[in-house]
Amino acid sequence: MLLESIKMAVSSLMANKMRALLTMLGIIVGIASVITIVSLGEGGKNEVLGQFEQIGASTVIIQVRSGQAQAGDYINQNDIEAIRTRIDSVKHVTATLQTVGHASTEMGRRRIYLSGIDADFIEFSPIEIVYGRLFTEIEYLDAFPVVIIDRAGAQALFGRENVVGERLTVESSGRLLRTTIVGVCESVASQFSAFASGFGGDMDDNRGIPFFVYSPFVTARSIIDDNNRLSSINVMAVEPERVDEAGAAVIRLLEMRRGNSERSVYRSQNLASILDQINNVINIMTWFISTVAGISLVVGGIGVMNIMLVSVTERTREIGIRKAIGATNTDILFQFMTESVILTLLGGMMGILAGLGLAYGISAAAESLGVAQITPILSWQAIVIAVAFSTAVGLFFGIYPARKAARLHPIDALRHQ
Amino acid sequence: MIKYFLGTKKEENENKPQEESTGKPVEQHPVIALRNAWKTYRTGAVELTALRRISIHIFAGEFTAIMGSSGSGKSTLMNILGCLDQMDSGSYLLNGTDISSLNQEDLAFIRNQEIGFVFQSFNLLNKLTLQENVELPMIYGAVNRGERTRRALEALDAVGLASWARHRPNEVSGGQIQRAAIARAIVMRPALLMADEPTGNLDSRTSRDIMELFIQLNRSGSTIVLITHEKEISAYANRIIRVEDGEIVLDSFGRDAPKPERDN
Repeated sequence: MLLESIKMAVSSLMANKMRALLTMLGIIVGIASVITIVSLGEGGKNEVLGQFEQIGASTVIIQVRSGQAQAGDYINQNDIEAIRTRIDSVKHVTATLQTVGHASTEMGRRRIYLSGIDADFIEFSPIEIVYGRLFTEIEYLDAFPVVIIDRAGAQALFGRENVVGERLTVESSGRLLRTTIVGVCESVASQFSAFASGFGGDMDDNRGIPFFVYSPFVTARSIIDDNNRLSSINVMAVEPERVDEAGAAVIRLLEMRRGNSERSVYRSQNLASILDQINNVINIMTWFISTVAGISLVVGGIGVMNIMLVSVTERTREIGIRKAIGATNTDILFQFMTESVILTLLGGMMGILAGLGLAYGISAAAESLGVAQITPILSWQAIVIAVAFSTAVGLFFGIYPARKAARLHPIDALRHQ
Repeated sequence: MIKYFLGTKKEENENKPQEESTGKPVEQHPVIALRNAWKTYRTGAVELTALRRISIHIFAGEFTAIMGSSGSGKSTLMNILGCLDQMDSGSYLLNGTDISSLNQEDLAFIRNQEIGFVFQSFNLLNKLTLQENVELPMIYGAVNRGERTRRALEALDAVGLASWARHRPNEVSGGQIQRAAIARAIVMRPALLMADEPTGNLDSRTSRDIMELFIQLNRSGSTIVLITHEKEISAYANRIIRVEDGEIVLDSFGRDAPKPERDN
């Protein structure tokens, strides 16, 4: 009987393809929007997760809350040294000075992203040397005017990649520093950094994503005016299980040194807590879109109910015939319910496909614009929920027309023209 | 070939007109036993009594024509006999089952199992093939697929439409549509075959063919109730019940009926 009902429903929908499609539109839009946001959200989460893997599960970021902080609360090199030597659970600690500046050669002037790094930096974020070398210990300690530039930067500033030994003038906030290039590194997968710092556009455009230039921390300080105040440091625990312990220990130590524990100036963030924040944002978006989609599903459902009522009226005579030859009220109810559920289920499936298509479209657009690189991920849970919701809409909005059909009196129905 | 569709097993000659004054062949059980049927329609303030205490007994193998003009109550009678409608008071035994106490679902089951309808306007589903139309009652009767196909083709063969099974109603003639409808009506081997003005939409030549088919079915055992207002059509039956103003005014066993030219 189920098979027969499905056959009947399909043939009746096929008889009015355009009408069926238009009826399904509300469902398609509703399901598609949810699928789009969910698959992009999952994909984005995955992407961010991948990028944070570079930081690693054992890393914790210690930040100074700028709202609560006074001048004396900021972290300095002495604090870093203290953390490094006095906390057992800490394996590495690094502070980075970062600024946007320019670098110039005979070939021109380019926008750069200058990072002043210390020896521990590579433990957190590896620098892959292609030509030349990393900085030596003495270069780190004595503020040697040396830099490492990324491949794309070398190409843009010199027209070739192996630029070890070349001179590079680096400037930031009006200060100049003449440096020697000691190494060329692989360009970082820069999408996330670019995304995070709000850059977009072409790589070799002045307004575009900047090239990366690294110098020893102390060297960078000579052109970056930070007053020896660091607002954030990265700490790596000896093992991932001790990351919370390390974070807490660092904060305790800092508070002890400053005597400001009552103001809770410092906070620690690890991979888990950052992921929590991202999840929060995604969840809020998902809920928002789901609400819109829910409205769309209700409107779509009303459309289905409407068209099913039309269908019942159109097929009154058919209902009469079926009843005359032995269809029970239940049979008729079942037939029309099957039809409305197939209608919404089909809409749901088309919505899944449309949503996935849209998600891939958006991700392709975002990638070509250089905004973000996200591969949509469609989980089976999302599919199950989409299918369940579209079925539920079909059942809920199909029941009234189907009951109306089932309750028709056979004689009245047969007389209907 | 029609033997297969025996509603109730009977000998060949039994549908000869009965001359007994009671109208009751002794050895048969009634397919229809309707007593004191009363039916009133109310539309607003207007009351219309369609049936006034009608009692009818129809026995297995009879070919009965119910005649009457429009508004005489014959359609109401047909609807009640066909279990499409229920009466206000009275009792109705169809093939031994008490109909008056049944609910809608049970009535549907009785219609499916015990009654085959043939309508004036054919009432096939146009989007289905003739075979699918004939299979429809068996779907509701929960007959399995293989059996359904077999019986549908047999029924179509019995009405001479074996080679038209895959056609749709709009691809065949009116007479063929009505034959398919008859195939649909007999495919469940019902106790009662009800035909409501079955030739009303057909030309006279086709009408004759259709009536011949009914006679064949009757000879092979089908109990037929024919609703008509045409005298020529009622002549094919061997019992005529005339209804006027909701009452039976005549119940004759073939006396008034001019013998239709059968078997030539």
